[in-house]
Amino acid sequence: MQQFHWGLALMILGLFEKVVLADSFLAPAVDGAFGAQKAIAPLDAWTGILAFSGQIFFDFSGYSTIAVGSALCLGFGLPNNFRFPYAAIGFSDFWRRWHISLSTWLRDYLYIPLGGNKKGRIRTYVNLTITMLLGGLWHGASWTFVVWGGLHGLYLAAERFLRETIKDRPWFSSWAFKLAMALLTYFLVNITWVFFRAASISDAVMMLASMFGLAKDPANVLYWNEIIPAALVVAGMVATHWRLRSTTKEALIEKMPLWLVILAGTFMLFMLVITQGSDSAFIYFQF
Amino acid sequence: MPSSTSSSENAYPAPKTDFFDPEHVDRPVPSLSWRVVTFAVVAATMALTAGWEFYWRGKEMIAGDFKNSPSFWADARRKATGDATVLIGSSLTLFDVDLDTWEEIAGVRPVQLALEGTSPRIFLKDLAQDQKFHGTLIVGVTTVLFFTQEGGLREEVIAYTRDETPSQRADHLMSIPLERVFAFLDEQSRPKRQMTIARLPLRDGMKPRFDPRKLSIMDENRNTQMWSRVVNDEAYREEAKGQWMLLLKPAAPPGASAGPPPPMPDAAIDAVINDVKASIDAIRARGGEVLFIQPPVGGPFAQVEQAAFPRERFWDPLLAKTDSAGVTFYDHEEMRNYDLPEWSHLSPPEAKRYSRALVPLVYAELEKKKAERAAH
Repeated sequence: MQQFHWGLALMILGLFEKVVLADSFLAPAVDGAFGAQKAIAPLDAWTGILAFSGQIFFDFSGYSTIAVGSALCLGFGLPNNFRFPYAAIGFSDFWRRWHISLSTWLRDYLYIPLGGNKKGRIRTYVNLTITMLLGGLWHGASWTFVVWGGLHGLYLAAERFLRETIKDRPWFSSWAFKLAMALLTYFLVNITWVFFRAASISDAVMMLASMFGLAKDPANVLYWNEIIPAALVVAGMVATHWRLRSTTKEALIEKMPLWLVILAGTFMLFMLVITQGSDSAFIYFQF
Repeated sequence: MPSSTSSSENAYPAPKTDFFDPEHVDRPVPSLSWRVVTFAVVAATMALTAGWEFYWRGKEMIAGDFKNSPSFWADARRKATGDATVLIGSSLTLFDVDLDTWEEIAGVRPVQLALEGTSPRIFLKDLAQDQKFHGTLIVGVTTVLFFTQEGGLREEVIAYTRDETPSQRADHLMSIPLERVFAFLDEQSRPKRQMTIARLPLRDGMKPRFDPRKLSIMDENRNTQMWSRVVNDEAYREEAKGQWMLLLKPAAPPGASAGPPPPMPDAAIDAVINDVKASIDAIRARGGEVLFIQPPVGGPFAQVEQAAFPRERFWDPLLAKTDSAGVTFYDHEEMRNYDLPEWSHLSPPEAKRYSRALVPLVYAELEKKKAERAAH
């Protein structure tokens, strides 16, 4: 019976992530920025892409958490598909935390059969890049997904090269360095999300130019009504991932006072009730 | 992806399948008094929901006001078959024609298919292509919408009706009994909507968003009337007028039309009328009939209509070239001088009064046209 209750709690959490956070708080900023299809101001571009990083996480993590929770209610245990990925330090760490079912499959059925890291340094970099390029194509036959996968492949290869080349320093294990590396990882992941979300390569290039202030005649397109909720949710998400990067939901909840668990559960369920759902399909339904 | 030192790489073992094997997944359950948590969360949520319901009832929302969803429209569209009497049009036809009054006078209850912000031409074409429809079609004409676009804001409902998925259908069927009971189940009470319409400062170079607030309530048969708050709450009504002005004034925001459009060329008007005529001919060939109505407008809407869409160029040729009957408020004294709280739609008592005047005229015009055709 404990398992059933915990399964229900996970379903509420997953629905909250999808219906409230992804669809209600983040989607308007994403749609506004990516729907503009013209040069936009850096604030709008960054809000759009950071909101998308949250939208796709909450959408897909919510979907996975609902599946885990409903399976648990029926007596089955499914593994986690996400482990606070925006607190990843480096890209191999990111892929241990993001879409774990896909990354595990890519490792076992592509990377290792290609030779993994057993055929020399250069071949390892090539294997990583090929694996991620194919991982990108898995999402759809579009050049934007190829670039997305290619960038992740390059990130993984570059990270491996740096790890092999640069000697370990004492300050590598400092809190500040780790946080800086986590933020750098999150920044670079967001660059890849531009290609994942944009309708075409030219749209993606326009968005990148807007993000870095290189676009001509940029326009403000987002209202504060979209920027403020997106900023609050994204800041909360990144802080939560960082706080929980070395633990699990289960461990956290066990440490929380009972009243706080009840308060959090009530907040999520009440928000779900008043949000009333919407007609938005899960983003990953298209893949 | 995990790449560097995974032990699984060392001997190239058979691919791991544990991930997909639920029996080997350790899924710990936090040790808490879960019964207490579940009971407390459900009880607190019920209490908060009750408070939320009372709050929105205090804002004049009522139970039994249904969302004008695509599924709701699809339900009505499925009834528009055989010899049914069907209404298509934009929000004027939706708000101003009272189905109860129509049924009381004519003895038939029309199927209401009008949709806000949408030209009925797309629905006319849809019904013309539907071989099962051979009834009476009343087409509401809001001249600016009718002649400048084929569909518009809600045109997706046609494809939705065709492609509605079982989950969308189930969502709709589950929603109906809840909407009969809860007033807060309304688009305007959703947090997302509240965030969108909250008054915040505008950023440089940005114009106010054209995004009308809730204006109507709709019963289970899509019989629609103006929401009481538009009639009773002056500030809310002024807000609604402000939204219409965004649409009408030349400095209109992105997404809204930029005020009165330039005069439409004759060729473009003819193209629209020819397209409409083809659909009407198809319906008549099956034994159906089509009639146009033009509900009243006021304030700046009437000024724009009279200035940019004079009846001599639009309404009159539409009737003449399609050989159709029509009832426009301009022709009937009893259809003028109504109370239009936000210039565009009639208040509920006025909608009943308008319908009481309209229905006999509609059937008289239909009979007259029938007699004319018989004489030829």
